[in-house]
Amino acid sequence: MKIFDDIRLLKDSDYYNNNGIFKGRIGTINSAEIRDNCFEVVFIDERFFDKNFKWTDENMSSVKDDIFLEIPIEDMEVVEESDATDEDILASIPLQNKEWWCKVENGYIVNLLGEKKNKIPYDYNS
Amino acid sequence: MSLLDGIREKVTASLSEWIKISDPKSNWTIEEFAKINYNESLIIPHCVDCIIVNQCWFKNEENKKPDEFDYSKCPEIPLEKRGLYHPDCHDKKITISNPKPNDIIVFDLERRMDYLFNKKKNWIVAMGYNEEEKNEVFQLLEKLSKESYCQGNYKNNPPSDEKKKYGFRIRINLQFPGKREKLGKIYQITSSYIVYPNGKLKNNTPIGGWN
Repeated sequence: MKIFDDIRLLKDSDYYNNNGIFKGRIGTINSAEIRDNCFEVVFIDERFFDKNFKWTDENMSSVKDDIFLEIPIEDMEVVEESDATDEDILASIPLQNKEWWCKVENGYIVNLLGEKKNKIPYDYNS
Repeated sequence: MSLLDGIREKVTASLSEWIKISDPKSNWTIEEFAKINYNESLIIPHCVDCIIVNQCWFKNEENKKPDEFDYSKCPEIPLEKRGLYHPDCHDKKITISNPKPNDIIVFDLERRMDYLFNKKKNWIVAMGYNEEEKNEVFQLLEKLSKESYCQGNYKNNPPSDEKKKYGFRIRINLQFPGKREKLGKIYQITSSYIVYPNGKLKNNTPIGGWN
């Protein structure tokens, strides 16, 4: 799990629902860094996922604004991995600091130094 | 600086519609805050509200700058304690010359172009551009973002309280020109940014909606 991966939201909450986002919705990880065990995820107008939908000058103004939410790692699953490399991630991390937690691999939050944040896999607060 | 330069600077500033937020007692900015993983316990006695806008530039108009503390609801707070964003706040508004596009540094936009063309390709195509023109679209978005910001053509885009520590968000309105069969058409799109110190804008989404 890393920047630009597509994810599926696994649960509902007041925070998500009040922002118009519900369980099952697909979004894209928008931040390189993990903050407070969360990635920032952007949810775009669902018509962008419909390959048959045709945008025209008439319907463009009806596009819904992107919605940005902080989503805890355990509340989402990857549905499509991006091809972002470690180099891409580093370039997007604040001040290119390799110590930032930035990926989730096999249940561990990791940084670009290869360090693991949590001790027990899938228990991100351990 | 010569006397004449000093006078010129003061006259220019007096005609300006722009301000810089500055806390003379703090070196903390959103950039420095990011370095410490947005750890609020390390910035005490300063607060998130002040740090995220310290040294940032805003047009001095409603909805284009951080909201100031409303003391009409707390009349008991004495005048000498009334700061800009909260009681005892050290932040000051300093008038600066109107910024020019060349003064602005946009970052994180180019690396989001793949995402834009991957997820919103049909939209870009509908405006007359094709996939090979990613760089042209990037250059246009960068140029229009700088120009529009300097014209004050943007609005605050306040996040939830939990997210405000990651920076002051704005939504810049862009008049994006169509191409080929859409030549002559202008599309009213928006691009989202976080305001960084001294004229820097961090892109959050290249095209994030309609104005």
